[in-house]
Amino acid sequence: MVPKKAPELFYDESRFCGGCGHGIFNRILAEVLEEMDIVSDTIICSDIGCNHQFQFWMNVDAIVPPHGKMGAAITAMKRVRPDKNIMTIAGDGGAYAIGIGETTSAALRNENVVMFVMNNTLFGMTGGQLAPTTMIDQKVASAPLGRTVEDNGQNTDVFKLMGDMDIAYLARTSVTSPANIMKTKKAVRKAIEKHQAGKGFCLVEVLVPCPTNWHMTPAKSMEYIDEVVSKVYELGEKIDR
Amino acid sequence: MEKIKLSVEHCKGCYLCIANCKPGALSISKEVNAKGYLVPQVDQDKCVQCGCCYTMCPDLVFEIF
Repeated sequence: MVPKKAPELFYDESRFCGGCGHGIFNRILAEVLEEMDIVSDTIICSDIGCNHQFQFWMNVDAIVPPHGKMGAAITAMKRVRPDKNIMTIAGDGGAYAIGIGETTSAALRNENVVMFVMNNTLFGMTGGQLAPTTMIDQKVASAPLGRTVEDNGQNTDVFKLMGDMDIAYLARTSVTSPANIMKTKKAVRKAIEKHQAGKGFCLVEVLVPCPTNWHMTPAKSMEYIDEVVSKVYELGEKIDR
Repeated sequence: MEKIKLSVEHCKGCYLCIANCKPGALSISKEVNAKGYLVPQVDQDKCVQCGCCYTMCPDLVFEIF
């Protein structure tokens, strides 16, 4: 039995809601950074949204660009500091709605950067409004009768968007169980190792729960991801070069 | 012997730890922390140190020895 203790780079307690998947992912990333001994050689770019609160409890270099501009910001960061590990923690709203141009442009150029996108199928910080990833028939604050193709358009699946692009790594995982968390950790490590090897653009999407805006208990939220969300957004590695 | 330590002051009452505790060592206590949540309690005898509580907790409450 290996002792399990919170990574040392956490200096405060989390500001996320109870049961939020961001907290779990932050710990996964912190564990990987410490295991790879690259904390001081890493700069994390965050987006505006729930995800940017990692800076308030993780002692790691960080920067926050204008909303959705992570794809452009990390491109610039990597070019200015090619010796550093450059990655971003983003939300699905920032990465696929406001920042879809920057995200796909960075992927099309196959920039050597890493994006971790937390997909909770809605805009969490602003109150649970419809996002590009909101599923058909899913009820959210701004679509109380459920999303329809007629009214709201088709939902965005990053596997369909980037599945044929010439990028290094594209994977989707979840945090619903210890087994899935271990898979997420492996995907995170793999993406960072590819980044260090200069392979190109890596994107890991993580299905995370938002119990507050889903109006479910945290345990029920995890079941919802397993039974509903991961059926729409297929888990696994789509691209591994 | 203490197998697991809980920093219950960080707990936000999501109880993902209890939902994923296969041996049933964790349960909701009657203790309320400063945030106002009923915090989990552990039966040290039942704990098998699998680490599932640590793995699932978003708030770094658990430390396994």
